[in-house]
Amino acid sequence: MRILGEFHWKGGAIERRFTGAERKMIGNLATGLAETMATAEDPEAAEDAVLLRLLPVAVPEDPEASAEFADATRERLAAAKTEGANRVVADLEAAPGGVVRLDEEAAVVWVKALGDLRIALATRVGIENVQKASSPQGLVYAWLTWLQGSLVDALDAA
Amino acid sequence: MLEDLRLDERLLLGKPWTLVVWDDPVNLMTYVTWVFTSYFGFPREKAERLMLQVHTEGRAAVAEGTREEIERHLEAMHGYGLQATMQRVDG
Repeated sequence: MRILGEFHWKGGAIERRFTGAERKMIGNLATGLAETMATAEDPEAAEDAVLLRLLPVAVPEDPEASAEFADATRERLAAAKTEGANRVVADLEAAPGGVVRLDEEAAVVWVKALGDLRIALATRVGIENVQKASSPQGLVYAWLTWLQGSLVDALDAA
Repeated sequence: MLEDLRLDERLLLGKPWTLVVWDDPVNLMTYVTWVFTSYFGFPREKAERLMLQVHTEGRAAVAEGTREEIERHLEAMHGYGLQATMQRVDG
């Protein structure tokens, strides 16, 4: 059944073997996301498209309420996204033979982080561009989409 | 009597707020449904109906509550990468 290497349950964990190239690709994207998140409090990065998408305005018709929400949550949200991206990289680096085994808690961190990586890529490159599978970024995006979908399916089967 | 109590409660807590989830071109339909079931504990049928509403109508009101409650949900939705906002009910 598993012809493409989907995430799958094995011995009480969700498992998948990653190739070296896959690990490197995710590592690069995750590093980029962490770098962007590190600028979340920088006024010069206020118009950064990825920050605007991943840390969006809370109350569009109320700037004051939006600012209060940002004051209370922005730093924590940015840190959580950085932590998620770093966790994925650490799990990949620690994976014996590239085989990653995730318990449910880890799988939730992963599925969120993979989503953030897709959003960041689509926002940077443009959704029309990533939806064209002919471009290199489009191939990466399509693969990440498939990978995240496979993890959602595994979580649904929990 | 009960009505009065409810009114008092409302005045005490302030006007309720709504959590709105918007359609976006990146998040997978299966992922959005999974977020609705796992975070809110919605039954699968309700989660799928809300996800489809987001997808076809562009947005769906997913929860209502005090400002504090909805802020907590909104932070969670942003944590999941969903495009979400909050607004006052009636305004």
